[in-house]
Amino acid sequence: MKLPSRFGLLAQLLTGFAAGGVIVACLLVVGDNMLERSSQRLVTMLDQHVRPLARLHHFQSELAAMRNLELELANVHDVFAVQAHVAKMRSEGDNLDLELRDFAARLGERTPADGGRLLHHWQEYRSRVAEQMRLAEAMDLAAAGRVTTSGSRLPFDAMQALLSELADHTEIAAAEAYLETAGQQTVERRQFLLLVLLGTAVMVVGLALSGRIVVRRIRVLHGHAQQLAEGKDSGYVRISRYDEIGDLAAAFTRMREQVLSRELALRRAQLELEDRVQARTQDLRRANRRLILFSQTIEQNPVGILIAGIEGKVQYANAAYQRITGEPIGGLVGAHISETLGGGEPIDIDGAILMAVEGERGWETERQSQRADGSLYWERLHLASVQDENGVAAHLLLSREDITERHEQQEKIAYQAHYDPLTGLPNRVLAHDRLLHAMGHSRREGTRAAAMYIDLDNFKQVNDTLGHTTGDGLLRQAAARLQAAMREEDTVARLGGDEFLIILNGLAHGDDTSAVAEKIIAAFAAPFPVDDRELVTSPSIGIAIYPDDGSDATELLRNADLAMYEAKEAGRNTYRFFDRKMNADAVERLNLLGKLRGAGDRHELVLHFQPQIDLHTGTVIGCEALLRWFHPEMGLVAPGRFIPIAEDSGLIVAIGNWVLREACRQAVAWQRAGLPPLVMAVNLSAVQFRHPDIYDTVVSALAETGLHPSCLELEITESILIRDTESVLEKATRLKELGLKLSIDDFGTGYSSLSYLKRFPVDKLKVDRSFVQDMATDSEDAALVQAIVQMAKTLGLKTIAEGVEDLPVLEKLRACHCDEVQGFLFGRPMPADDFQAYLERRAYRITEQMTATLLS
Amino acid sequence: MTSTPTGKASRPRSRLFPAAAALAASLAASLGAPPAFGGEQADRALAAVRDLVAAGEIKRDARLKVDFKAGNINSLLGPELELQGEWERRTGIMIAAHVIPQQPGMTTLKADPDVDLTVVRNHESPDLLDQGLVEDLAPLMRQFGFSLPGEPPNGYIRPRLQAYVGERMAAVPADGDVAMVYLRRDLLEDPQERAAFRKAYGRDLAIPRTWQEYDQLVAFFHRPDKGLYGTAEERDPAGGWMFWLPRYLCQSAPYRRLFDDAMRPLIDSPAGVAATESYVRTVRFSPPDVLGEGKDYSYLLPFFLQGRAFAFINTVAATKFFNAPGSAVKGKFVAVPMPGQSLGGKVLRHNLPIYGNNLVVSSRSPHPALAFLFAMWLTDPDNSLRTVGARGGFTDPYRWHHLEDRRIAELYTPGVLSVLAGEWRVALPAGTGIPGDSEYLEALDRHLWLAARGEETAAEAMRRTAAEWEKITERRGRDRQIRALQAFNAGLALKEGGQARR
Repeated sequence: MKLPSRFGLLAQLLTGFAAGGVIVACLLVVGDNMLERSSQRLVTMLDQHVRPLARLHHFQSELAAMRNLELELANVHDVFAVQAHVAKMRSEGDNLDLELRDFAARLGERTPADGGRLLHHWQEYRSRVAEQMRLAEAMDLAAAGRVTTSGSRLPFDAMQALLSELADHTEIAAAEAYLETAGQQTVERRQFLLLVLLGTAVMVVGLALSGRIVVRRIRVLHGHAQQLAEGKDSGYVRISRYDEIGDLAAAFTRMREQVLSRELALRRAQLELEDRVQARTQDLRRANRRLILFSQTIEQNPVGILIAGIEGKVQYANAAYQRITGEPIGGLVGAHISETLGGGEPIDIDGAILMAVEGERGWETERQSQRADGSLYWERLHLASVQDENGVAAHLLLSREDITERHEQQEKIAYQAHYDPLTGLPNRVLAHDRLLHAMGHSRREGTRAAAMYIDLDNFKQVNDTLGHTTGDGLLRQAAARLQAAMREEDTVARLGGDEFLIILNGLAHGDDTSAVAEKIIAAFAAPFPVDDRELVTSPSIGIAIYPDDGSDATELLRNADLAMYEAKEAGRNTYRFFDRKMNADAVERLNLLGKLRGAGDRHELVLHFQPQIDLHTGTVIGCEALLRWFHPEMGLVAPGRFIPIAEDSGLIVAIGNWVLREACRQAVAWQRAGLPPLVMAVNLSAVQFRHPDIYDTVVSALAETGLHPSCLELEITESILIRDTESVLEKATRLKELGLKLSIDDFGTGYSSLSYLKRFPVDKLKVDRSFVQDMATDSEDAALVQAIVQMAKTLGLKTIAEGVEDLPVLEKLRACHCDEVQGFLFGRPMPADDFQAYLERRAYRITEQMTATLLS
Repeated sequence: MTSTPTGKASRPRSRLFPAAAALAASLAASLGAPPAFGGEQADRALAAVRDLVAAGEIKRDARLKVDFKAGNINSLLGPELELQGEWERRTGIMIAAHVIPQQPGMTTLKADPDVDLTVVRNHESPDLLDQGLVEDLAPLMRQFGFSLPGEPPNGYIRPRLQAYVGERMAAVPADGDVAMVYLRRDLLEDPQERAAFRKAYGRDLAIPRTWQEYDQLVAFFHRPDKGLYGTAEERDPAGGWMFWLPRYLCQSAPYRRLFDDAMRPLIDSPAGVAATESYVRTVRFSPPDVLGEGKDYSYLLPFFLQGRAFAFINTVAATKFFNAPGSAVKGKFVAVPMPGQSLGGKVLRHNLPIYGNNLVVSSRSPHPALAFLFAMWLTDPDNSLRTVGARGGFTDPYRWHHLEDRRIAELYTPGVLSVLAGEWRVALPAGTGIPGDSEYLEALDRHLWLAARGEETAAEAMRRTAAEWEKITERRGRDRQIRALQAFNAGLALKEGGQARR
């Protein structure tokens, strides 16, 4: 198929523009020629008429000014002003001369006569003025004035007249030239307008024809495109292909085919995309919910949270941050993190940020801070970095938690841990620490330190008789007096109970503490007013000196304690320095205690039994079980040596329980051996009695051994009864309800009173041997024993006297109507086998003299 | 000695004036030396103005009103008012310049309520300060860090004589009107005249060193029939003190005082009478109307300029006229020092700045700081050269470096400048230096005039003047006047670049 010859759109447009351009260029050339001619005429008119006219007016004005200067000269009286005036006239005249000569030359080119006349008049006038100036400079002002009035006036008038005449002529010529120029311009303007109209018409017709052809073909193409856009298949586009529009139609046809096929693919892709969008939307919703959750968590978190960029610029702070720090959030955002830390201990924020970014656990600290309103609070600060999705630290997270309450609790706990709540004095823990400190100071300074162990004499009695409230009052006052007696740098501590410790340091000599001890004793001399009573107590003070009496705190305290016991034993209300003998005694006690532990297991403990005799019948009615310790190396250890140690160490409970069970077991053994039933008296120590398991222990012993309770008598001391009365009463009552007997041992040495004897379910009083042994020779002891027996009888109680070793005493007891006796006179304490033999040999039958005494 | 129109020093034409020749030579050697600090004072003043404008203390549309006399407006504001234009261009502050007649500064300041700056004569300062008509500029000097140095080569010439009254500063010097004597050199050198003089007086015709010698010369050259008068000194009713005081001050060493410490006049003494007689003696050798009212220098200067007088006493400004085209004495005159009195074989001379154009700031000025800064700008070394160098004005050298500038030397001639420098060195304050100066001087002028007219003898004139002075002193309060005199003398005693002290 033969294609038509190609004439593209660009060629068509260029052809059209070229034709139009030619027309416009022609119009411009014609118009420019017309304007050039018009301009030339105006320039000619300006040069020939207007400018000369203006200069003529200027010359008239300058000439008038010159004349004014002439006239003013006559009025200048000061010679110095004359000089200045003449200088001005000369300057003005010179300038005008130059201008006029130039103008006259130009004027002469056109009208030589006028030019000549102007120059002549000007020279005439100027010569007069020069004469005037010369006279003025010569100070001949009168002559100068004459020139002004007569000499220069006529030349001036002539000059002015000539200038006016020339101006008039010039003005007329200018008007005529203007009219001629205006007429020529009107004709040329009309011709130019006609040409413009013709050129415009040609261009319009050409554009209309070519435009119609192009537009028609584009409309056809537009119709097909419209149908394709509406989803209709418009079919093949029939447009001739000699130019770009034809090319466009062919391309459109190819595009139509591809559009149809791609539309199908797009619909499939759309469906797939919608599915993915839906899934993504759900993911986003979940993420958004999490984001809201996290956001609310941070926003509502009671911990103040601040988020800053890694460069430290604050981006966010939650409400708690403002509440805790008192800083308004609005003022925080945008500030540097270092500026948000407020008052308080300064923080090395750069170091903190470094730790937050590089350390695994970030940076944290606790400090006391101050809010803007001045209030103080404790807070915990934690700074950590937050990493972005690439694991790079992108933000800083600063949390600030108000821990004021917790801190106060800790301070309170710390206080309680170190101070005695009753007296406010340092407690044992703090005292120990102060002692270490004092020893360290003494070591460094080459001085001495002292530990003064103080125990209040008779305090236990006060506490037991008047109650804890009164006892506490006494302790508070005692603490106050101790503090008042000491220097501020000394430590007064309460170790517990009625024990105090005073620590002195910086002493030159250990003897210096004597004065301190005496001062303390003097401070206690006055009674203590407590609850409307006046109580009296005194200190027993033990003093140990560092480093002489101990190289460590424990040793020093122990030795002070030992010295204090020495003071007690020395009669109380005094002080004693530690010496090595005390230590030796303590060591011995410690050795004994070590050996005593396990003595039962090693069967070193045994019971001996001492018979008890009924004074009315002379028969053995029972025995007292007495503990004995046979050590393989030490042999028999006296009870006075090891019983106090057992009591102090608490071993007495276990030993006492063993004694109880063993005594019960032996009593049952004897019964089973056919011996008559005896009452087995067992001593209960105070420690053992106060033990909460005593009741169960007794019940258990009876149950395990099968001893009838009526065959068991528990001996307790007066001291048990007078302390913690209600508890002891309840415990004694329960034991009594088992059916056993209760007796009071060592009666008369304590603080018994009728009231508690009356209240407690006691069966018997055991009169202490200290009264019994000398009653045959000491009338007071005899009277006392008699009074005890009489009182017991009044209360319905039996009495037994211990320590009966000779007949006169026995006689006295009988005379007093004592019920029972016990002592060497009737038999020493003896092992179980010996005691059984003693009974079997009826050795319990006393001698004839004794019988007589007993039965008389 | 003389100078050429180009200002270059020429060889002395005779042996008459060896001292003046030596001075001229040394001055010529230093011509052209630029001031070391030219422009700095002006720049600082402009900077201060800009700071004041920036701080809002001066409004941008403020106008500075100055009142200058006819004849010096051009010289103070520059030829073609170029300094005014420069100030306005660089500060944006416009200047409203008004021309006032030759009149006392007190009249100007009282008549113009809103003038910022004007010019006054030297002797007026005590009265203006006393009446509160002008600002004490000392605080402004301190505020803006300026000073008035008195040392050559850069300082003002004798600022204590022109600017200060005691410790107070009344004005900024803008003129240097110390008096000098002009003589006809051509006549002095004429052999016939010299012979005739020797014959008549028995000594050589020479420049007069004493007033007695001056009187002889004036009498010798008085030839009215030939149109030549002996002298053209002013003897009108106003201003006689300016020509009497040089004659009086040299009557005793170091100088003859007007008052003693108790403010008692000392003029009714032989010294005062002698000075008055000398003053009166020239009248008969003067032009006929010399005693007429208003016959001041404008009347008398033309006599000398036209060659009709042998002697003339005025400021150095007259030189500009005598050297100008049209002057009959151009190249024929010489300026010489003021004569003195022979005492113990030595001649004691004293001079004084007789007129003066000093810049004062009105106490009623709306812009005192601005006016002060304009004065400092105008008297800057560079700017002042432009005002002193203006032809046709009467602003004369008032800073030491003016005397060494080539352009100024061309205008005045080096010889005149050397005489001027010497006269400044023997200058004392103009007038009395205390409040009431105008009254004291008016009384003195009046009786001098009466004496010149022959209506009073010299002794009567002095006695009556002294009596009037006593009344003035009593009326103003003697103690107050004594304190003012003490303060004025104490201020003069302050160091001023090594110059003489009064």
